[in-house]
Order: sequence, then C-alpha cells, then structure tokens
Amino acid sequence: MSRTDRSAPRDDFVLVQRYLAGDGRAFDQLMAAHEGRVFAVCLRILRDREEALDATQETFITVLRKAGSFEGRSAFSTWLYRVAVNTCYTMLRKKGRRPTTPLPGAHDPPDLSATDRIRAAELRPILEEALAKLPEEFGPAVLLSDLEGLPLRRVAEILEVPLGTVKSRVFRGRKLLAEHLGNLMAPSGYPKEDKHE
Amino acid sequence: MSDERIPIDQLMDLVEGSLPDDEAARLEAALDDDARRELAVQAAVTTVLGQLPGPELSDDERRRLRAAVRAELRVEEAPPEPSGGRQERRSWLARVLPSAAAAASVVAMIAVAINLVGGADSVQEASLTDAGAAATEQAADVVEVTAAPAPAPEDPEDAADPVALAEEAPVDRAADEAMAGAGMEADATAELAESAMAEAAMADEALAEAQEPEAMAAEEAQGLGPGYVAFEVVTDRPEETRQMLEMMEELAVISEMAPVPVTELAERAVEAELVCWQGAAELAGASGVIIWMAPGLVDGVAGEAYLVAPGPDHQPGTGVLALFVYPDCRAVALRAVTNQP
Repeated sequence: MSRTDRSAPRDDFVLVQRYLAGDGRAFDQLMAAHEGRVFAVCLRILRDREEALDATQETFITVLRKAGSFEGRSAFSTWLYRVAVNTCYTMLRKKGRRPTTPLPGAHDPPDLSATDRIRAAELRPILEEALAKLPEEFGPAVLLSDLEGLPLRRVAEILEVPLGTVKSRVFRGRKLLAEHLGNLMAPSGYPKEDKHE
Repeated sequence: MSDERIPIDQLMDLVEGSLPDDEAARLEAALDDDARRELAVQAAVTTVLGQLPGPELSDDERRRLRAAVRAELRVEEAPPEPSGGRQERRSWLARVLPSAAAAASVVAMIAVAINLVGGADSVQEASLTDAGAAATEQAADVVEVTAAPAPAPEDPEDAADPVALAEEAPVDRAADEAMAGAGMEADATAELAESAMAEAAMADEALAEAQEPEAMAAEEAQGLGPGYVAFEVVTDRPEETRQMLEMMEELAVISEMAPVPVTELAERAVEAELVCWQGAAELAGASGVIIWMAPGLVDGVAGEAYLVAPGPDHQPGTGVLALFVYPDCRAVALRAVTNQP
C-alpha cells in the first residue's frame, strides 16, 4: 500500500483549484497523491490488477469530472474513497461476482500466534482472499479502517453511515475474518488443508 | 456473546483506545471472559491486517493509468519542471506568457520584476512569524518593485498563439534590446566589477539570450503554462537589473494596481484563479487591503505574489510582498518593497 502518498486536505483543495484552472502539473500531483491508495483499495476489493486499474481509472475520471463542485468542506480523499468503493462494488455486481455466501462458518478460535507469522507468504493470499470475501456490508469498513489506517470517523464519512454503524461493521467484519483465519490455521500457524471444500 | 451485553461501540472504543482512562478502566473491569476474548480477537485481527503489505502500482501501471485518465479528461501533458540551473541562467526579465485560454485575461495581468537593489544585505526577508514586524517595516526602500501591464493582444489571431504573443510582447522586445545593451554596459564597466570572470559571464549570457529570444520564449511558454508571470529575484546583477527596471518603468502603469479590500479578496482571488489568498489576507491585517496579486514563478517555483500592508503614503507599489509557492501555498518570503527611489 502506498501509505506515503497521503496529502493534506488543504493541499488537495489547492491542487483541485489549479487543476480546474488547466494546470497539468496539478493533475499529476493529484494523481500522484492518491492513485496508490485508490488502487490498493480497488485491488483488495476486486482481487484483479487489471480490474483494479480500470476501477481506479473510473474513480479518478468520475471525481475529476465533478471537481468543480468540490468545495473543500470534506477531504478530497474522502470523496475519492467513496467513489472508489462504489465503483468496485458496482463492477462486482455487474459481473455477478459478488460472493453471496458468507465466509466459512466455522467457529474455531483464531490462532493468535498467527500474528507472528503473518509475513509468511503462504498466509497472505489467504488473508487477502478472506478480505475480498467479506460481505459488502463489512468489507469496506474493515479495509478502510484496518488496512488504510483511517480513523473510524473518516470511514463513516466515506461510507456515509453513522459512526456507530461503522464501529459495528468493523467489529463484525474483524470477527468474520478471525473466524475464517482461525479455521484455516493449524496450531503451527501454517494453513491447513482447506476443509471447507 | 459479550457484545450483546456490552454495546459494540463501547467495545470498539476500548479496542481503539479512544475512551478516557477512567472510563476505559471501568469498562475493562466490567468485562467477562467472553468479552475479553472478543477484544483479543479484535486486536489480533487489527495487528494481522496492519502487517499486510499494501499493493503497489508498477511504473507501467501508473503510466497507463495516468495516460488513460488524462486522455479521457483531455488534460494536456504537464510540461517539465523548470530546472534550477535554467532559472539561474535566465534573465530577471518578466516574461508574460499568455495562452489562448488565458489571452482574454492577460490584459489584466501585471508583469513584475523584483530587483534586490543593493545586494542581499539590504533585503528584508522574514518568516511568517515575523509578518507583523515586516509589515511595519515595509517603508524601508531596500527593494524595488516595478510593474507594468501585460501586453494586450492586438489581434485575436495573435491571442490564439501563445508563443507568438510571447515573442511579440513589447516588454520582451525592449528587454531583449536592453539585454544587448546590458552586455555592452557590462564590458564598459568591467573594471568596476568585482570579478572579470563574472562580467564575462554576464556578457555571454546577455549575448546568448539576445541571439535566442524566440527559442527562449517558446521554451518559457511551454514551461510555465497559461497566464503565468515570471518573478525572478536576482541578487548578483544589480546594475543589469536597474537598467531593466528603467525600461520597465516606461511601460509601468502603477496606478492600475487597484487595492482589493480583504473582504472581497476571496471573491477576487477566485475570479483570478488564485488560491493562496488566505495567507495574504492574514498578512494584510489592519490595512484591510491587498494592493496587488498575481500568479507567477517565485524564484523558479510556481506560486503567487501578493502586495500587502501598504505604507503610510499609500503608494500603490509600496508594501510587503508576500510570496507563496504551490502546491501548499507555503509562504517563502516576505519582502518590504517600494517603487520609490
């Protein structure tokens, strides 16, 4: 994730104004400031780089076309995230790829020792997959909160739901992930054979 | 489950550490085993997710993405950033660079050259924290500012060609002639110069610029974009700059520097597509006006200049010049200025 490509809201407002004035450099700076994170969000939802690129492209086009209505009252990145999440889920719905079945429903306790082994390459794809399979209700909340590191209040802003709802979604989303991971983890911390198939 | 007994949002507040200490302690004391286990799960998942490396765009993906968005939105390719070396070599001369899009507004643009007459010692510069002091000391005539209206396009067809306009700008023509003169002047006063080598370099530069005005104009037009006015501060060629100022003053219509009330500043700035006005408004303080404002290059970096805090004689060219640079409107300098000798 490009956690370095954050920019202050005030910077963004200035850049948007310059972009609207026809400054090509401002366009590049806006893209550079946000493309990495938008792409990361899209890729985690879509799980396909080309589709994530398409969604990122669509997000920027949508937002920049309407940039004239951006008044700087909220962060530009909030707007971008909102459009990105909506774009990705719209793409998933169009393709009929949205998983309608819940995550594996086992209730084995999660193996907390996995936190020490998360760097193991074997676990990453499983975790990414589990994230992508989180229901739409929970996935974006967990993604924005725990992967993008956004405060819950901003997640609420992005998803346009009350703060209490975001707390609930993140809480339940994490629980689902924990159940999924705990079910997949052997005591050694390595993935079990997938017993759900 | 525990979250049925203790509201989820309170558990989340515990996980996030957003509760006051006493409230957190009270809540923790009330947790049963299930709730504690729930909290541990939440913390573990948060840790696990926090350790996941983020996907990165490859250079090729980044290039393709930007090209696609740029094409869809019809955004022109950004010109390369002007290099520091190029800026240092260039004359202080103000270069007005209208484009087709900006031609209509170019009439109202003001080309400004800033001359730090007397060398660096006499230049008043201050950080923003010194704004108040700088504003009260603006009458010190250590820096000269002169201003001239940008040349208006006489022919609409000319206005459609930014390079042609830049080439034909009377300011540039006069300046180019003056540059040649400056070269001769440099030769004549070589004995007075601190360094013969420096003089030779000046003459060479003047000659080179006199020979390449068209290329320069085209390059500048491409490099700076629409409607920009170049500000350059040159501290090492006061004599050359003074000559140029004299040329500029013939064209200057300083009375066109209309004061802008701070109450109208935002509106006027937005109309002029300026974005750094807030800092200038703060600096204007008690004076209640901004004397003048324009986008431009501030020592080679795109930004904006505002003339604030007019002196007691309300001379329109007198005040504190506040320079801001993009993208964050960082204030880079305050300079007391006057157009009075």
